[in-house]
Amino acid sequence: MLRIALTRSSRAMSIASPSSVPDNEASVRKIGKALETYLKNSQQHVAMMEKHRAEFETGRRHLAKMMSLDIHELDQEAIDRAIQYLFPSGLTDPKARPVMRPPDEVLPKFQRFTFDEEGKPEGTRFFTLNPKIYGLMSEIGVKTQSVMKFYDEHVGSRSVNKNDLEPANLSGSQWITADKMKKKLSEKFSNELYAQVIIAFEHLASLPGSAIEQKFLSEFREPMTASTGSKLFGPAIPEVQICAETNRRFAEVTTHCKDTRATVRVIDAGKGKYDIDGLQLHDFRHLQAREILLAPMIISQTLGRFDVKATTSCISNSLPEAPNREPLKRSGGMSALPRAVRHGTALCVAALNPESTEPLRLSGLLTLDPRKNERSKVNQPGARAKWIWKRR
Amino acid sequence: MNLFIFFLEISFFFFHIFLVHFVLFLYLIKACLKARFPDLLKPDFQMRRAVATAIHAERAFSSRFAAQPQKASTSSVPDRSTLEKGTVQPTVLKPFVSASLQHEDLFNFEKLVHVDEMFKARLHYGHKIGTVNNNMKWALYGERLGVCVFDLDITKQYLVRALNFVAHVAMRGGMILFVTSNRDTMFDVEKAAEEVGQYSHVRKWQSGTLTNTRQLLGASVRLPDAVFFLSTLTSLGENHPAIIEAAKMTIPTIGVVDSNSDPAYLTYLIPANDDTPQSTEYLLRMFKEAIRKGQEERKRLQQGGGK
Repeated sequence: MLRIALTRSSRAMSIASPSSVPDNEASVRKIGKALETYLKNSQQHVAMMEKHRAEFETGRRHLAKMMSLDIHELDQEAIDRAIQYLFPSGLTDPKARPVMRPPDEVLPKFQRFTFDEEGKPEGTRFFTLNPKIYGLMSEIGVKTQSVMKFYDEHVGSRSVNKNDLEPANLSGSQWITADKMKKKLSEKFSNELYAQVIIAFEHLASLPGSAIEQKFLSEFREPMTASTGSKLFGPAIPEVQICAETNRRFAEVTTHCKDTRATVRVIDAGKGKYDIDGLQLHDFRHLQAREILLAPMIISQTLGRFDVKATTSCISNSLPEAPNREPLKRSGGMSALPRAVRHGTALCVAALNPESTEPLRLSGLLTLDPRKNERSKVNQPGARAKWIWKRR
Repeated sequence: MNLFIFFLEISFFFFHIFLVHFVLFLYLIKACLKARFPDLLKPDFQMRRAVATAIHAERAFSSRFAAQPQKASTSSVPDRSTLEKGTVQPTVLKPFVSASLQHEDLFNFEKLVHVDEMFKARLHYGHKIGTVNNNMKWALYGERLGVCVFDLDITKQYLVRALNFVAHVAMRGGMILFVTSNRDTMFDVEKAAEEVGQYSHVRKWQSGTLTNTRQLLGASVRLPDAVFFLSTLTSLGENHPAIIEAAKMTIPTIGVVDSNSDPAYLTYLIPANDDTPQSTEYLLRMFKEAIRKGQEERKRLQQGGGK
C-alpha cells in the first residue's frame, strides 16, 4: 500500500535547488516531517502487531495443552469454549467477559493512506476528508447539469427517443441504505452526508430526461421487497416458487393466530377456490369468517385470481408434554382459524403480486397477531376472574 | 413673549460656555497624547510608515539592492551568524537563495497575460460600491453606474506574480489545493484540479482540516504547499475558514479577491471578479497553464539531473 522509497524521494525532492546547490549529504532533510512521523508510526504499529500476534500464538499453544487438545483442533470456537470454561463469568454484558481473539480483530486499526513516492496523498479530493462520498456528490452534480442540458437541447425535437425525455423509472426500488452505501464506497461518513446524497439523487431522478442516467441511478437502488421483510412483525413475505407439475407460480407460508397454526399455499392463475382442511368457502357458515378469508383478495383486487390451500393444526397439541401425560386433545378456536389463514394468504399474495404489498401492509394484514390465551392462575377460576368473596 | 426671549438668551449663553469648554478639553487631550506618543499625531505618520515599508520591500526583493555575490561563492548554506542576522535583515540571505528564485518572471507569464483578454473575460467587474472593502480600494480604477471597476494593469501585475509563484511551487513538486465555496464554479474547480494532478476542496470546510490532521485522519499527512482560493468569501459573505488555517500553518495562499472581499491573511492577491463564469474560467485556465509549465520544467530538470 505504501510505496515510499526514501532514496527515490530524496532524489525527487532535490529539485528544490536545481542548479545552485549540488546534491550533498548536508542538504536539508528532503522528506517532510509529517511523512517521517507517519512512517515511524507505521513501523511501530507493524512491530507491535507482530509482537501481539506472536503472543497470541504462544497463548493458543498453552491453551491447547491445558485443554489436552491438538493445536490444529483449537480453532476460534474451541478457544471461546475453553475461555468460557476456564474463566466462568457471570457478567451480563458480553463485552465485559474475558476473551481471547487474534490481535487483528481486537486492537485498533492503523489508518493507512496511499502515498506516491513524494509523500503526496492519493486522490484529488483527499483534503475534503470524505473523498469518496464527495466524489459521488460531484458526479451526481455533473450528471444533473448534463441531464438539464440534454433536455433543453432536445425537448420538442424528433431526433431522440421520447422515453429519454422522461424522468427515470425507479418504481419498485428504493435508495440503498447508509450502511450499504458505506460498504459500496468503502468509506465512513455521517448521516448528514448520506441525507445530502439522497437529496441530490432525488433531484436528479425527478428531472425530465433523467432516463438517460437510468443505469447510473439503478446502481444505487435496491428492490423494495427485499427490505419490507425485515420491517414486518411476524413471518416475512415468502419467496415465489414454481410448481414443477402444473408450471404455476405459488407461495407458501406458515403462520399462527391464537392456538391455531396454518400452513397456507396460494397458487397463481387459479379460479378463486378455497380448500381449508377440505372445507370450501361456503362451508363456513359465519359470514364474518367468509369476509375474513376474502379480505386479502379484496384489498389487492385479485378476487378470483388465486387458489388458496390451507391446512391447520392446534399448537398446544404438538407441544412436547411430560411423557407420562396423555396428549392434549384440543382444537383451535373457530374464529381464530380464518384469521390465521388470512394472515398466511395475505403474505403469499404480497409475494405473488408485489404491487399490492403496500396496501396490504397499510391495512395491517401482513402483521402477525401475537395475542395468546392467557393462562389461568392458581387459586382463581380463570386468568383474571376471582372466586366470589363470602363472609364465613 | 419677553419671557420666551429671555429663555432663549439664557440657553444660548450656556451653549457657548459648553462649546468653549469642549474645545479646551479637546486641546487638553491632544497635549496629553503628544506627551505620551510623540509620533502619533503627526499628520504624515501613516504615509511615512507606508513609504518606509515599501522601501524595505523594494530592498528585499529588487535586484538593484541585491547583496554582493562573492558571499555565495564561499558556501551554499548560510552559517549561524548569517541566519541570525537574517531574522532582522532578510536581504543578507538573498545570495543563498537559488538562482531560479532570483528571477522576477522565470516562466515569462508577462507574455501570456494580456489586459484585453482579461477585459473580455470580465475580470474588471467588481461589486456595487456600497459593498466595497476598504482594503481593496487600492486595486480599483474607479466606478461606473455604481459598480466598482478594477484597474487591470494592477491586476495583471499581481496575476503574473501569483502565476509565477504557482509555477515555482509546481516546479518543486509541491501540492496545490484549489478551494472555493462558490456553488456555480465548484465542479469546474474540481475538474481543473484533477486535470493538473492537484487537490481540490469545494465542500464544507471541517475546522481543523489543516491544523488538526492527526486527529481527523488518524495520522499526520503532508499538507498542501500552497492554497489557491478562487473565491475567498463563503455564501454568507464571511472569509473562508481555510484562510486562517493556512495562515496558522504558514502555508502561502493565493486568493482571487473581489471588491467586497477581505484580503487579510492572504499571501498572493489577485484583485479580480470572482463570480462570473467567464472570469473564473479564464483564471482557472491561467493557473492550469502555470502549473503545467512548472511541471514540465520539473520533468526537464529531473531528466537533465538523471543523466
